[in-house]
Amino acid sequence: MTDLRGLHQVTDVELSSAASTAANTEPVAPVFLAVFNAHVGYVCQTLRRLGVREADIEDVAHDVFLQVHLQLHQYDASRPLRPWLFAFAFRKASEHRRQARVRLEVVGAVDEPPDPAPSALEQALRHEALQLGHQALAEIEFNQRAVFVLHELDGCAMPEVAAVLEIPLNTAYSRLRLARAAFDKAVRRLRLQRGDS
Amino acid sequence: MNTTHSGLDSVQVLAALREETPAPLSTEQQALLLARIESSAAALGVAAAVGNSIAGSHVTPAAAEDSISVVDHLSAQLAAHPVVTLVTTLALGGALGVATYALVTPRHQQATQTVVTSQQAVIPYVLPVASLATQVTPISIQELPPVVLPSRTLRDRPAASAHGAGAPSQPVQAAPAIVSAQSPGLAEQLALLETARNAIAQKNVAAALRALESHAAQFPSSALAEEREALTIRALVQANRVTEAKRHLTQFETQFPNSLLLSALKRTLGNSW
Repeated sequence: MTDLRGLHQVTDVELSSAASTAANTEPVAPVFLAVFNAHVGYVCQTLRRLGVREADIEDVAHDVFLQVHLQLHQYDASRPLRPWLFAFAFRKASEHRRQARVRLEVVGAVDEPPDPAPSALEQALRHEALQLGHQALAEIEFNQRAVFVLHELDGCAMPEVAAVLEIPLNTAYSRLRLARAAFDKAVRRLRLQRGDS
Repeated sequence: MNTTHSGLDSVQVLAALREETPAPLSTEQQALLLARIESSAAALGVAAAVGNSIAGSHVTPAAAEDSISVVDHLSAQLAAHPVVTLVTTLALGGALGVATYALVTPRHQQATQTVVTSQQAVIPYVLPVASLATQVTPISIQELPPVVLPSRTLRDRPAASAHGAGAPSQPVQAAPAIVSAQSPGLAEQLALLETARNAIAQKNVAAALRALESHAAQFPSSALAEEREALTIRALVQANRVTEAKRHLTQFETQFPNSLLLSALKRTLGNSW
């Protein structure tokens, strides 16, 4: 049985003393609240990276956290939290993709990432890079993209990636290799496309 | 703008993606999302209350998700409270059995679809298990409010994976009959509340309050009153009518002391509460 009170030891969630005290009697709700508050942004960002449209983010995030809510008592506190959350996001994003209404994904038609503080040239460059990055991500096959996002962007070690996605390690490496190639190719193509237009 | 792209390579793009900070949700968005989650979780068996009592070892999210069922949560709930009266247990078990049986019955799905016009219109109903546990008077199945389960989570569940063996030998048509007969105008109620929910999301407070007032006038003692009152409080907060919101919250707390929406609503009122 997972000791939820150990959750704060492996995450950046700063459980308040009140929540820690309450954990003795009703552990899930306060811990869930702490997880939700600390990681709702990460989950939304992950869903965005996995190709969920901006308009659908909240609905899919609802599904993700509902599942997290129900499963939190089964979380193994000896493992990092974010990859665990990623697994829920991956599954819900995958289900979301299977729905007919989102099958016709138009490459390059991803929503723009939130506009950072404008005006400075550096910010504009960064915004351009992000925009390009999101479009390039959208061109990577979904399962490969999940490996790419979890490893390259979230910094998760490959054995953990394989465990979270429940795939053999070799498969994970294979998908990473393919994803990297697809990402490079997409960036080159998009860069040329935009530069030439 | 185009010239900037020509200077970007994969490494720079990747670095930008790595450094991207998640866009924060507004406090209101976060509170609304949390309330939805808590409401849905409650409809799935008051997981928050029983989480610690469910025996289980570490499982991966994928495997664990496959093992979820309403029966699991509810049986755990009953096991965790041995002092629940026999009458309440029987009544609750009967109602839940019907609901569970309905879940695995295609006919129920068809019937539900005729009542609920869209997936978005399904409003998870908070089953007041805690309140039922304290009841001293016998409750018949017919007196229990309808259990509307969130279709987003259960929609793809294969019938074979559900615990149909634990269902009582109720006739197949019992569940839809309860849903429709015990909740007059359910479709209309759901539509009104969904209208209010959407209006709140679009910050159209006037439209939200119109829909909520209409629901209150037509269905004052509806099983969805808890959802309605919660939405009303959020709409009033959005309209900056804090005094009224507080008054509604006080009433809400009296009427639904065990509601999982309560904490989210108090947070919505923030420091003014």
